[in-house]
Amino acid sequence: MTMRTASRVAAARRRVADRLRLALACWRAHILLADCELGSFVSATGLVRAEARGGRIAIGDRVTFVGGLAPTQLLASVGSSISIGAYTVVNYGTRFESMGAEIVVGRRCLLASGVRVTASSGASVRVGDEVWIAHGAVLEPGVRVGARSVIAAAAVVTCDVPAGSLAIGNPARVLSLELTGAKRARVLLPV
Amino acid sequence: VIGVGARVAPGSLGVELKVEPDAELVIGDDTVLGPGASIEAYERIVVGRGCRIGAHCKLLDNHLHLVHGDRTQRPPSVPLIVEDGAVIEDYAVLLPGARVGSGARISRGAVVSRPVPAFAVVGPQPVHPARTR
Repeated sequence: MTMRTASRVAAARRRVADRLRLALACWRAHILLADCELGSFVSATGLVRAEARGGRIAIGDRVTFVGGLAPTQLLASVGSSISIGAYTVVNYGTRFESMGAEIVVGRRCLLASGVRVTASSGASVRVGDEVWIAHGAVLEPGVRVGARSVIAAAAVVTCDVPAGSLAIGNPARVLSLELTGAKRARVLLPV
Repeated sequence: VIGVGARVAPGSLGVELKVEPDAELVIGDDTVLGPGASIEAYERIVVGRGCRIGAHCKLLDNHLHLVHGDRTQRPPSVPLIVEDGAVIEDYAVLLPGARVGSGARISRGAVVSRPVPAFAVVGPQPVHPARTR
């Protein structure tokens, strides 16, 4: 067998393995997220605990729940809802808790491990499209995050974050993402 | 590479050690990792001898996503070094660009992304009242 056919066979084998893995992850998601309204190709590579206790949990198309050290938790109490937009990736140990309010996460968001989002008694949390929330960040009830913003690692967001900005620290300060090209910020976030 | 006497503290959670292909993770002798600690090496992470890494800590040498443009792309890694005898308390996060000097102490829940001199104590502690309610 020539080198070219060998690499082609290897690539085909990898494609098949990827498909199988996706099918397995989708199957797992359908079992774990039985309480939820699921879009197509929702996948889970680890443990997810979803409890819609009289509430509503809606997961969009091709949302991925990545497995790891701790399970991801989605808890919605009576009259509350959690919705996650299409193509969003949620890492392990993330906790969404909605008690009498709404949590809306946009499309193509990236949620790192250990992120906690809580909404309570009318204070809804809204996260725009393509938002990146880094490891261990906390969104407090009533917070709104605009599209394409970045929430830094371990930040505690207590106020609204406008679109295209960077929230950093505890309690979070809001900076413009345009400034991250500057020399000081390059250490923080290489652009 | 994991040194002699390096160990994982008992706890309900495991420890996550993720090493990408061609990346290097070195954990020195007698270093203790707390439960739920997570180290992800994309290029090179070196933890020295006799360090203590607390529970739920995160050590990353890559930001994993670009801030501008395509967020699925990965930025270049910055090797992360924790020198001998450093103490990293629970829930602290070490990001690329951090270099913890020997004997330094990173307080609970701190986020470090730049060099810390030897025997320095950094972090959000002690707390101060933010406001009254």
